[in-house]
Amino acid sequence: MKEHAALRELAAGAALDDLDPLERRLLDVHRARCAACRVLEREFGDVLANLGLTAPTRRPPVELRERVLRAIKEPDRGVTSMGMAGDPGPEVSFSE
Amino acid sequence: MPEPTLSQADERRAEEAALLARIAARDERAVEDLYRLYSGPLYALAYQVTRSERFAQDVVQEVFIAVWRDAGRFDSARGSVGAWLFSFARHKAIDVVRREANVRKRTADVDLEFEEAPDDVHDEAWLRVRRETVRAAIVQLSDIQREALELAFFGGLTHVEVAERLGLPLGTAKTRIRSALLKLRDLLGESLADTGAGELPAGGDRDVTGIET
Repeated sequence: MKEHAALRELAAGAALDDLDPLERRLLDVHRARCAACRVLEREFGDVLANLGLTAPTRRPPVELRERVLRAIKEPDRGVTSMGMAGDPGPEVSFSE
Repeated sequence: MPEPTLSQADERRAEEAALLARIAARDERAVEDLYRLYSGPLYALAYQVTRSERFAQDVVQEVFIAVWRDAGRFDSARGSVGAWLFSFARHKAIDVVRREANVRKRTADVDLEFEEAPDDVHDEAWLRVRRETVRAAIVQLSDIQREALELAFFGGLTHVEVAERLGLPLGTAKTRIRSALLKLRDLLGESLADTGAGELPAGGDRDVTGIET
């Protein structure tokens, strides 16, 4: 059915966050009553995770593990350079 | 009456949901388990998007902070753990890229390298198999579909920027990218069900802690 094909395309768009407001509305209305498309959206999550796995291997430094385990115990400290408040903690980065 | 056999995918989903339940119960060992399973691939994805060791590390840290904070709210009916982790990591990486002053440079110079990295041979077998499966599917996309999808996924660009980079009207670019994703889903279809796409084994002693660089 041509209409459903278009909605499957919207589901793909949702997975990649490219829906405009009208598309978003159309999809929201449809998915509320279409189990197949809800399943499709879940599958897209796994497809994208698989796609993510094809990034070339790059291993994190050993120190990252301790840094992460410490960070979860003290969520307001030792956090990232990505705009969060608190003590930046030990520098484990490399100059860019 | 015989019990229905769970597919591998169902088993992994259950194992990973259990892992998150342990994390929600504040089991730090479970976080270590999750880190061992996922830190390598998440770091690789974050680096591919951000092209920065420092920011890739930040992204991985943000992912695990979020897991620690939100594990109790994870709803396995809505998707797999792997799907959530990769989606979160990718969005954080894109946030970093957008925040950086070289967005204009990236729009012009995004260059996605997918040659086999020298240390691929040291990856765990399951990761190699999964990656080979996906790559085998990706090459079945047309060149322009593959280019569009990889740019949309790894490029750290908005879909408007992707369309510009491809030299296409926005609608055409979106259709091409979405069609590529639909086709990839269809190509992976069987293996998604059988191997638990996006989900990594919850057990075993796979060590993905980092080496150098």
